Amino acid sequence: MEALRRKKRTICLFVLPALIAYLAVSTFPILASTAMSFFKWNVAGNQGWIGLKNYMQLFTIDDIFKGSVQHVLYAMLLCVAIQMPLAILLAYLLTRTRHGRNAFKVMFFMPNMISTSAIGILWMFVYNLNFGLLNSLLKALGLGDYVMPWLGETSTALTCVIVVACWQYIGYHMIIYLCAMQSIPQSINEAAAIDGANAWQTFWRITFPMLIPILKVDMILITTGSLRMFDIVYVMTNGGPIHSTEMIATHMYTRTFRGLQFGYGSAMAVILTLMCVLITIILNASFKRIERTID
Amino acid sequence: MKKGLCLVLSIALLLSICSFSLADNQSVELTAMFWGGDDSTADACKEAVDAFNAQNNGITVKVEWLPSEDTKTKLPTLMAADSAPDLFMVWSAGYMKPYVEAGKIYPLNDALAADPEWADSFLGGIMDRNTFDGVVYAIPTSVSAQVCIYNQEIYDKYGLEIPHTQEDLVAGLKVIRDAGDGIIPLAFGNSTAWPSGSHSETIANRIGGNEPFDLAAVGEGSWTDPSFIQAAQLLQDLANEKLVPDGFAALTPEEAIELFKSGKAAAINWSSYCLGLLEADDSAVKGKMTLAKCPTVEGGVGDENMWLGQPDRNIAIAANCENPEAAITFLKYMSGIESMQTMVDCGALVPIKSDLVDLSNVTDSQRQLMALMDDMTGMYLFYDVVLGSVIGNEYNNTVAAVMSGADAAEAFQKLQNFFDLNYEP
Amino acid sequence: MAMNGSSALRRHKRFHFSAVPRLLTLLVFTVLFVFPLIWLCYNSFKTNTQLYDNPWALPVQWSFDNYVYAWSVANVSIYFFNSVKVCGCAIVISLFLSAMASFAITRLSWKLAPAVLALFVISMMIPVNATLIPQFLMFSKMGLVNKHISLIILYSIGALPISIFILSGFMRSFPHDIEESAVIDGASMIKLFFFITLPISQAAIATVAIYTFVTMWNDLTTAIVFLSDYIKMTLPYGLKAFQGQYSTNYVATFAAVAIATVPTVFIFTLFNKQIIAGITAGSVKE
Repeated sequence: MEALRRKKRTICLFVLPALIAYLAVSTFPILASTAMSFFKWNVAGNQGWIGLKNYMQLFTIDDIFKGSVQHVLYAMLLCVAIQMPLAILLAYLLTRTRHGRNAFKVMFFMPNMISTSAIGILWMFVYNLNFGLLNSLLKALGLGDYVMPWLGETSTALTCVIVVACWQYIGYHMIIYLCAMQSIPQSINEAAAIDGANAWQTFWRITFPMLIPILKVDMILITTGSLRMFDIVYVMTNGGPIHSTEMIATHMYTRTFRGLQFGYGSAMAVILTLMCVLITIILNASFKRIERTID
Repeated sequence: MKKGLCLVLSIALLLSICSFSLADNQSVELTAMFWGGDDSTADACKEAVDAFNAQNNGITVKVEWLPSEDTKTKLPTLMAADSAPDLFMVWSAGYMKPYVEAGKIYPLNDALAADPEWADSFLGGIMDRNTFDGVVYAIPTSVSAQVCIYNQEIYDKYGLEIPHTQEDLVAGLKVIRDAGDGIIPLAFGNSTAWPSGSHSETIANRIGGNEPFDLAAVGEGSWTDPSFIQAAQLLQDLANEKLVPDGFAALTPEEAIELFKSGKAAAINWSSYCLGLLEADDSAVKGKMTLAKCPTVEGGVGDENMWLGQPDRNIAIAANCENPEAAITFLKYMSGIESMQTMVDCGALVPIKSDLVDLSNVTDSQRQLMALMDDMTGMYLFYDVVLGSVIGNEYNNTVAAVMSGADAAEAFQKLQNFFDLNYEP
Repeated sequence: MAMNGSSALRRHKRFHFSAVPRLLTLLVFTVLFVFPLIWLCYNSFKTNTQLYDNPWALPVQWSFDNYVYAWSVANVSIYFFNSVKVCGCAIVISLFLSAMASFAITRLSWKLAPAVLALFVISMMIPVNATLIPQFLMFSKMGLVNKHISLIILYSIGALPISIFILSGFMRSFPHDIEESAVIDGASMIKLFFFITLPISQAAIATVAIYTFVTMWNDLTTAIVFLSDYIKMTLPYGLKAFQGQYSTNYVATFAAVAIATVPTVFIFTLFNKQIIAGITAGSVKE
């Protein structure tokens, strides 16, 4: 058996197709992207090494990029603030619900199963000035003064788009927490109940600490996901009005595929990747410290 | 034996010569990427292509129809990889320039020189913006011009005259606003930012003439020139005075045209491509439109006979097209009298001399427009076409920002900084 | 016994007491998540004027005109079938490659196995935007742009990391006895893979299949970069193009979105167990 397991031919046969395909189509482009970011590369053909010039431009003079970094960080904070508490709350409520748990699960998860394209268009109509769901709701509640073109104002557009992204993904994160909570043995909760703890205390003293590893994973998912936000912004506002919803990914897309500045776009791609990696490392380290203090 | 061999050889030679000429007659297939969409000029174009393909001249053109906005991303990427289609539609000046400089477009001077009748059929100066270093690179098949369209019925209702100055225009719009009948004074929709750009361009030209832009575009002038700032400021006033629809920043251009088309708005300052839509059978303003030249501004140096527009739907041939002669035949057809007639009949303006086409079928608004353009002294291009994608977009966004309340002087200073950073001569 | 009884009583009491606020909260959120889609659906049976008059009201006449329009005139049927074609091919390729790779990593002995697994797991962190530009240039040079094959390749390769992660996790866990006996009976590794490993891994494969299918089906970024022809567009891209072109025909756009969404919601509701299993497995990767 062992000899069979070691047979080189078999190993190659099984692993090489996937490995080679992946290296060619995915790993190589990452390296190429990094390389391209040090070049001036556009369709007019004048490619040339310019070293860190693209990066310098991004960090010092490109106001749109600076704005997009701010927007992306704002999205990150807002997504964590909205999605995590709500996802935990809903998961907790579902653990206490016996009847219809699966039905609720499916309904909360429904937005996640739909294409971002459809969700973006749906919410463009919800936010519509004249017949949108939101504005007619406000009018019906007597709050007609607050009616406004939500996606047309630079002050509200960004928050509105981020809210939609949260709407799409809360169900996803809820599922993660639900699974984690369900894997906590019932006996622990029962023991707490016997000791006289009420639901509130049980949650904070017992359930929550056990969720911390999952919190870490989830927070990494939310933060890296919001840093990369593209689809929903592209569909709803494409960075407008006047760059107020511009994200790093949308700016990169516009500059690369419209402005034909492939090198410049690659530099943005590299920065985006580094930001994701950096956030993951920071969160990992912070949670290690938290877990240590709890122990 | 020798005789037999000779016979066989000569038959073989004959056969190969025959097959050679047969090969010449083999059908040539050309690929093309043209602007599709929901307007009549696209339909006219499709008709023309179909008519060409129906001709049995051995050339078939296979067209991919895309919304023009989409080609802004598709074409550059195809160009970058040398897999552009044989024929493609392209905007003039700044948009074409990178491709010309990279040698990716087939020069047309020889073809034009070889056919003087074809070359002369075009309106004077119409191909200036498709010419680089004296070489023509694309042939226009349509013309767009920025024009003011008024709903005569609404204007009559309030006893207003068709305005010729900016001041009269605004005064009239205010009357409509104050009448309280819920009619929107000026139809407008700026989700894509270019409508405010083009509108500001008509005003800026009336204030400062051609010079400020011609200098600024090549880095010898300044974007903080008063004509630009004032123009944007006037648009900001329109927004502040509520002469444009609420939430205009979120309305799409299609929605803006729809507002005027359904009779809900009194006026619109737009490119002539919308005329086809406005003359559709389901249009509420059919037969009620009065067209006028873009208004002058008091104290400005520009006159109303300088038109904002562009040679439109320019077709260019890719440098690596394997069959440029076939492509040129197609180009000649598309800009020839037959297809130009189809364009005219569908409500579009054409780049050839008007006496070459039969104008008896044109719509009322078309006729009005052509009459207005008779005494045209010159045409200047939409700024974003000249400036190219990156800077052009930023100009539009600057005006959009001012219209939404930003400080005009500051915004244009920012534009100047952006220009200095990104301009490549 | 008595203690059990009292705690059971207390538990029951707690359930009873907090039931109302709990159910209320759950219902509020249900409405929040479900109503917008329902609103879209019933408005798709109206005309544009009816929509403007009263966006809340149920349609007076339920007309299917918008659906007919969206399906035929606006090409939603073409987009739908394109998505089926691209995702169908991609999922088959991806499952095949990832199952084989996972088998090699977990079942065969070679030094580089952990390194290769690490490569795939780490790649899950890389955003797709990082690879888009070079991939595009690469595919353009090969003439693959604006063809379905480019999407099929990218989708199947893109699904490899998560598929390999889940499948290798599973294959590592089940016992090896069956394999031993099969080998004793004279089976080669290949036969082992096809006749033993794959059938046993059915559940995991189903999980991976459905989870990655959802991702492929809903992808937008890759589609907009690599496709341009109307005829070739997948559903998400086609929807966006539809909205761009017919932006004033709101109710028809509603119908298009409904056509795009309702079947997928239905199918994915059926398979929700697998999707959920996929998410939880993928998230517990530390």
